[in-house]
Amino acid sequence: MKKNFVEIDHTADLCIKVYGKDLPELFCHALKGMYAVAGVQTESANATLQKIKLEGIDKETLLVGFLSECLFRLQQGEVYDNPQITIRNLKLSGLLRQNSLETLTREIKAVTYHQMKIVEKDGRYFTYIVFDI
Amino acid sequence: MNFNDLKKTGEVEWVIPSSYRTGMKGDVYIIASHEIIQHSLADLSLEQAVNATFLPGLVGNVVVMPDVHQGYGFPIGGIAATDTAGGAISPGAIGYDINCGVRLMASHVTLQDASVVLADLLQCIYTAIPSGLGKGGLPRLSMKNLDAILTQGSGWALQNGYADQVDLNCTEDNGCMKQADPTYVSIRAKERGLEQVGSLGAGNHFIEISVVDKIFSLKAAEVMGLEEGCLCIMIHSGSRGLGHQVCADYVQQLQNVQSKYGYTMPDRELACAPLHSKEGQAYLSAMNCAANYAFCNRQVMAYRVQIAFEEVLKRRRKNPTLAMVYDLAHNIGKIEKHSVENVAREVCVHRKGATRAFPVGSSLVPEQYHSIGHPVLIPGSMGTASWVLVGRDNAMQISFGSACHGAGRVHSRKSARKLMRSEQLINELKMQGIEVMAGSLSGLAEETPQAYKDVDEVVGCVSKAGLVDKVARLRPVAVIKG
Repeated sequence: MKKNFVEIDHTADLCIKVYGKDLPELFCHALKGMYAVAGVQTESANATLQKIKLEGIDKETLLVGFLSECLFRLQQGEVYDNPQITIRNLKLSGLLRQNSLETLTREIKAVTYHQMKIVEKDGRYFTYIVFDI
Repeated sequence: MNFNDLKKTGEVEWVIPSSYRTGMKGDVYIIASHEIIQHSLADLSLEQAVNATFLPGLVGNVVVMPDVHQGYGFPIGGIAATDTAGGAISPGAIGYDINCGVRLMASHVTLQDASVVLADLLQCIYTAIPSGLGKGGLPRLSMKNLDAILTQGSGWALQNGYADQVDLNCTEDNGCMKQADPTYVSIRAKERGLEQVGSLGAGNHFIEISVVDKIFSLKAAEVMGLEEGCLCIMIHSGSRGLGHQVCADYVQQLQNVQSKYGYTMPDRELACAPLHSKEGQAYLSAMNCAANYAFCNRQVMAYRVQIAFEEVLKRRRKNPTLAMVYDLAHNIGKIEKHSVENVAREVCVHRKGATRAFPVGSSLVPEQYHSIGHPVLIPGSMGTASWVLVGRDNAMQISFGSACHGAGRVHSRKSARKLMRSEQLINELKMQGIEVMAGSLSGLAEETPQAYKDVDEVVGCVSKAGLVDKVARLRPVAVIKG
């Protein structure tokens, strides 16, 4: 089975390599990867749907914007699963299923642009994402 | 990059010449031993330093300290100065934890006197200072109070009973950066800052109880109140979520405006704007606000640590006090005047993982340290020494009045987890006489001393390069990790 994301060695911070069959899937796997490195556990008893709408000047600013938005909401105790998002003309919109944060084991300070370049190869997208921790 | 790209110019000095890559605006000047250079070539830290030479308006060289390690755009342990007239300011070259820094306090209580209550002291501090993820030590602030902190820094702590004048006198820039306008800080950043004043945070942040192990300069140690065999407490923390959000906001905003100024940086994390542009001035103002938040944050924690120390130690000794030594920033941008090739220049010094190290005679050395130079505080890595140093003349010639900030990592967090389990680390440190309490056990193993360079060698390099003089070495006896 192909992996959605893998952790890559980075001296001071944390880096993941993320894959997806298209941009929405890449973004969703990036979110899962971010939650995984942060050690997120959720309570899903009172799940609700939240809207999300973002714009970027390119794919990378859109991805950093999306993850940064979810990181901010994580710090407010909100965790999302099963994102239903569409990306057209560098505009992202969709619905996120919001759960409550149960535990978090690592503080991520920020999502960075370092080494980020969304590449399409053989019908599959991938990128590196470095998190400042 | 490989070893042949470096030119050795001294015992601990190396240069990557500007001919290494087209477009470099200066050399990369490195302070490192042969072994440390080998470590630096194993990751992207030196390539990142080369990228930093592309900053518009760069003055002189990008300087790399021996604690250098790979960051995310700009190397940790790097210094770059840009001309205030026409040069750029880059949030990524200062970092997400704006004014991450160190405070040192010292006592005249010996370890021998304190040993039977040391565990109580550790527990008392651990209870008084929230660590790890989440909220801080003060009740949720009003927005008005938060804005006052962003404007006044430690001055807010003084007005509200969490500091005295000596604390401010012994804090870099008196604990208050000017040109700090809270209107340039986003609501989102403020929201993150409302509940975190007085908190340590997670990651590599810590509070360490240590003992003065060896004194190298009696005069400087006396001025600083350091006495061999006596206890000190060091706090390493920063601007928490507010600072992270300020940096994230401006790195994102500057992605959109760089082209307007004709800037193209080799790494998007080095996004920048002219210092005097409206975007550059907005970031400078917001960064100063975050720096003030960090000064106040460490001050509030220090106040509580001092109370805990006096409460616990009065059982062993009459009137035990924990006096302020110094509080400094090591992730910051500062507007300073420097002589470059005998020409006086006003520059924005980006210090990312680097410490001010001004020598005797500099007007920016606090009054009480005029006779010894600017204090430089180098935290170790739990099981290893921390150092107290003072700046020397060469720092002004070589590194814009800067020195290193720590030991610097050599192993990734992933490989550190393989080196050591957290429980094993706690036991090993206990056998060395070091008690550890941690907000997060999972993060503890990543901070194992084996993941860091030898701090004594790092300090040896900056000392040999003439950037600093050694004052004292501190040995840890108890640590609270965030």
